[in-house]
Amino acid sequence: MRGFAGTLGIKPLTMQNRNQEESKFIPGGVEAFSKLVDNYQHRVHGFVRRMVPSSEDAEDITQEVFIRAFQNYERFDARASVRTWLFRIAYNLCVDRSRKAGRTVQQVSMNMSPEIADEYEIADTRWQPDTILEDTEMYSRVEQAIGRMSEKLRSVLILHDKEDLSYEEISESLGIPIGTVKSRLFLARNQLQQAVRDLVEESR
Amino acid sequence: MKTRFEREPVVTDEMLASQSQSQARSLVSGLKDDSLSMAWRSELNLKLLAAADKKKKAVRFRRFAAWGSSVGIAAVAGSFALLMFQPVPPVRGSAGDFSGFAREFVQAHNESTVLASVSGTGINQRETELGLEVGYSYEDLL
Repeated sequence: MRGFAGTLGIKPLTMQNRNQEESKFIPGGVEAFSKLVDNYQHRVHGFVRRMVPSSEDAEDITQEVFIRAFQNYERFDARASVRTWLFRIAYNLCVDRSRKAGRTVQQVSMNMSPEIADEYEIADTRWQPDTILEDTEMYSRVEQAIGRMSEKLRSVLILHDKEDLSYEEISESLGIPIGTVKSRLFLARNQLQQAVRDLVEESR
Repeated sequence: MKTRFEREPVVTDEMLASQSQSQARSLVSGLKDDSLSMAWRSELNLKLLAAADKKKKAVRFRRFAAWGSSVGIAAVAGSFALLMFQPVPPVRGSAGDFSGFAREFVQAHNESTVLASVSGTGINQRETELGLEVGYSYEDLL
């Protein structure tokens, strides 16, 4: 059944046709591209800000993401999602910047014994996310804990839990298999939970 | 070859949906983002305008290069065709093509050249031919 929007010839804003609409913005020049920037600048910056240590670098990289996107829109496959494409550019630029700064991508032990995995299955009832986020000091220490993670774990954690990208989109953005996305996400959350546990214990 | 430490654990959707994982997820989703300043946005707009200008120039150059090369190819092809299909003019210059006075004049000149040459300096094909025509040989001259 066609809705009111359908009778007016307006497509309902599903994710698929939203992507199609956004991809049409790009070839229209700077003004049209600005709409895309408006839609994504905060999300891209939020991701980049947590991937590089300096806020100045984060601002530079975020600008570079949009400039690269603008310069290379011919290469953009309209079937793909714009945000996946933008986050891919952002991730590559962050990795490049880290390499140039001499920070190597940390190797993370992906091995986890069944006992440890079971331990992390139990939620810690001593803290709640809302209370942690309301406490300014605890909040900044959570950010620090995320910042101390390897880029591999951090990128997956931020893209999934903060930016709401699906496993498939993360897989496409980072160029890794979906299984790897899931295992990195699992490990990242475990690391974060451990860090928060330590914080809670310290504060007591 | 992957080492023991590089091997990734097999993580199922159930594991990711556990309560502890959801707790960590809520923590991350509640993080706040820094806002970007208007100055940052203005700077980005300027950079985008510069990139657009550069892009326009590149497109113009590509079009010009494509146009120039096609014109060049067409000109070369046209010249080649012109040369290939041009009517060939009759070859002139041999005595056989002259008629009347001109033929006699050239023949007389050739004969006198042969006769005036110093004997014993050698003989060439032309002299031999002319010698035969006029009915003498170099042996007579020796």
